[in-house]
Amino acid sequence: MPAVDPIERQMRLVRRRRNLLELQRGVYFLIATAATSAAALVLLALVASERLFAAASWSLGGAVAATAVLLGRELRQRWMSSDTVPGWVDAHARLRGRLATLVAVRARDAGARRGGEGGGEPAFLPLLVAENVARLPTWRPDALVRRRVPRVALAAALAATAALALAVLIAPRLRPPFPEIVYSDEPVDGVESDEQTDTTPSRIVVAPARRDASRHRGREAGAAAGGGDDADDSRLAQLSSALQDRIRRDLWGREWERMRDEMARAERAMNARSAASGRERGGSDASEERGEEDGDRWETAGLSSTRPGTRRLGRKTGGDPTANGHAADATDTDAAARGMGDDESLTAPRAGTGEPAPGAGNESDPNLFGPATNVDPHGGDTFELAINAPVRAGRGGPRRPSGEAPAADRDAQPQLGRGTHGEQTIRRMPVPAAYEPIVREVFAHRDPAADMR
Amino acid sequence: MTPSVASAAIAEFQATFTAVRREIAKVVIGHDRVIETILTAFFAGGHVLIEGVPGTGKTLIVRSLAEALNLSFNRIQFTVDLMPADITGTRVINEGADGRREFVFVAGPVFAHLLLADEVNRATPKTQAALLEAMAEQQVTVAGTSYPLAPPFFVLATLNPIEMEGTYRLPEAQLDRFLFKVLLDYPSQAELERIVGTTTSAETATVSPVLEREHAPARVEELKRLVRHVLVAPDVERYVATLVRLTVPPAMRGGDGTSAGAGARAGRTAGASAAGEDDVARYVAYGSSPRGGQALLLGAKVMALLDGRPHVTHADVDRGALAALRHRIVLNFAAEAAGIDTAHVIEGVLAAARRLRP
Repeated sequence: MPAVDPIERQMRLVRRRRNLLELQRGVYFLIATAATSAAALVLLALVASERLFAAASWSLGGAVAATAVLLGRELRQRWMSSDTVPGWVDAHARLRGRLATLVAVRARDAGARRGGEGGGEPAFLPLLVAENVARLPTWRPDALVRRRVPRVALAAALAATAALALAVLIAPRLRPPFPEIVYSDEPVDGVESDEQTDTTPSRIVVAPARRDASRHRGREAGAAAGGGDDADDSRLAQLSSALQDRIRRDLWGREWERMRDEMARAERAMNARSAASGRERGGSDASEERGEEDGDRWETAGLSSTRPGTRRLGRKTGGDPTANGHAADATDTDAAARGMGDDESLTAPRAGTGEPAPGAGNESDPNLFGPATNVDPHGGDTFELAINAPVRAGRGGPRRPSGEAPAADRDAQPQLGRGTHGEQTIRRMPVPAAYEPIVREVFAHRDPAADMR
Repeated sequence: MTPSVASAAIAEFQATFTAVRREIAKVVIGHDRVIETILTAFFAGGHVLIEGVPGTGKTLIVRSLAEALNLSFNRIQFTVDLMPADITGTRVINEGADGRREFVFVAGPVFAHLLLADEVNRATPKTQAALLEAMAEQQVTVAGTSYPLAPPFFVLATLNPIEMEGTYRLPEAQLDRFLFKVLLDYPSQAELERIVGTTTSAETATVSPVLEREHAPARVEELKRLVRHVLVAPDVERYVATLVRLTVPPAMRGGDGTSAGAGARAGRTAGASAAGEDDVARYVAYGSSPRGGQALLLGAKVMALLDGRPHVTHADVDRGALAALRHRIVLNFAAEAAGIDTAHVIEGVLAAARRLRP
């Protein structure tokens, strides 16, 4: 009888090749699914709100898990055991049961012989072995399992990976623009005038709205009140939020972290201002509600409440010439944005109208430029504090300022500007109409001779 | 048996089978499938029950088979007054030359290699039972003495589906003795034209023997033994057992929990065989006996040899399922009322068994 070793060896090769192919297919499809989900997750993390991202992340996670289970089940079904190889080869090589019969009959006879029940060798068994040996070339592993690599699955995996890479590559473009500083003496379009707030700024920081900021505030307020939203406080929500933050931090880098923190700080400041304003209005919730809106909002960043003349937040003051000079020199909008809201006193309780602010004195606020940092002031990663800058947060991104910036004042003594004193900005000060006679009187040009008299 | 010898034996089997079929086809117009089934049963060592209206060539087929194989042939026309002794033979008093009288057994027509039992349902059950022993035991017993029948012994009984008055329905036990049951339909238009043309002309076709008379019985027995050597994989045996079990109404199945050999795969059985099992539960009074499985497998072995293979496939089993199970399934009144026949039930069972196949 011809030896069956070549048959068994070829069956092993077929099995190995087929299982490897199936394993690759499962892995590639899993990669494709995971990469597609990851790409979607990255994009959603960058552009979607926290709530949407949470829903999408858990949905995608579930989809990936379900796909993994399905792929695992399919792989298990397709996985070829040594028992199923003959039948599979028979079916695919059109051996008409020759191989399956040979293997089964040999196994049965071997079992019978071990049990002492074995008779003689079946008469047709040698013929069956010979037929199988003669048909070995028809079911070579490379003929039966033509491909070493599942092309469709591999292509899907590559495409999904490319999509993920593309998502990572375009991630910086999706970073929200930093707040923008524009210089203007005019009220900004679309900003409602508040009678207690001077809307004639010298600098305006326009920042994108953060929809989740109000929710953060609500959460913080709820936590402070001892309550809290169960859903938002759930561990799952925290996980998705942390994931979104992590993705943004990894893809947008430290710049985004700073912007996020500053924006959050500005939001907190606005919240505090709204609360103070509410108290001033006798506990009215009007400003609080207005502060909750995601529409246009104003924030004064870096306003020191300790300086003389500061009456309340949002009211424009004479300003510190030095600070103003710094700000005026700040042409880098990113740098200006980083200066936004660094004054921690914004979050402190505010004084009422006409009263000095807490901690007010004759000296400059030691925290005027915010707490000390480890940033090397001589390095490239420095910034200038934008003080006395109204911050405007608009929905959906920055709004371009309308109108042109006022022309710089002409230098009255240009010959003195070279090497003597640095130029200092002379600011125009809007004066309430009620004070006009007094101011005109004080600053009126008079005859020196008359004064002498 | 070396591969070359085995291969030659299979080739010889194929040649003999083909030659016999070709010789029969000389005189029998059409009925190719029926002739193949009859030959299959013959080489499998079984008997065939043919149901068909008179004049469709039943007798001619058997006579032609006997002539082609060069075997002895007898025909018994079963009638209501036919006695068992008319079949088996009887003992008669014979006076010898010395004047002594003694009983001598005179063999009946059953002593032939090929026996045509025409309209077997017209005989009384007692007479049918006489044939029963001959079919099952390959021997007849007369007056306490058993007389073996010379192999090969092949019975081809016919049933006339019309004129049922005065007939005795064959008991299930006797039906079970037949390996296959085939239905002989009316010939087609083309076949009928050829039949009337060839049978009324001056030149009548004759069958030439394929085997030599002296060696024919032994040669046929050799071929029958060859059939038994065909290899059957365990999963094919399992499939056959499943088929047989599926013909049995679920309430009557044994308690081994296999449920047609598929109980172990109950999860898949539930949906897969639902339709077939439903028909069986609703319309079948009694299912096939184990003899049905034997018939399935023996027929499949012959078909495998005819296909030049030393092993049986599931397809071989499927091909013979209708002939092997048709007469072993007893339908109930519900089936009769609904116009369901055994072929319908078997097709459902086959479909269910195929789905259960690994």
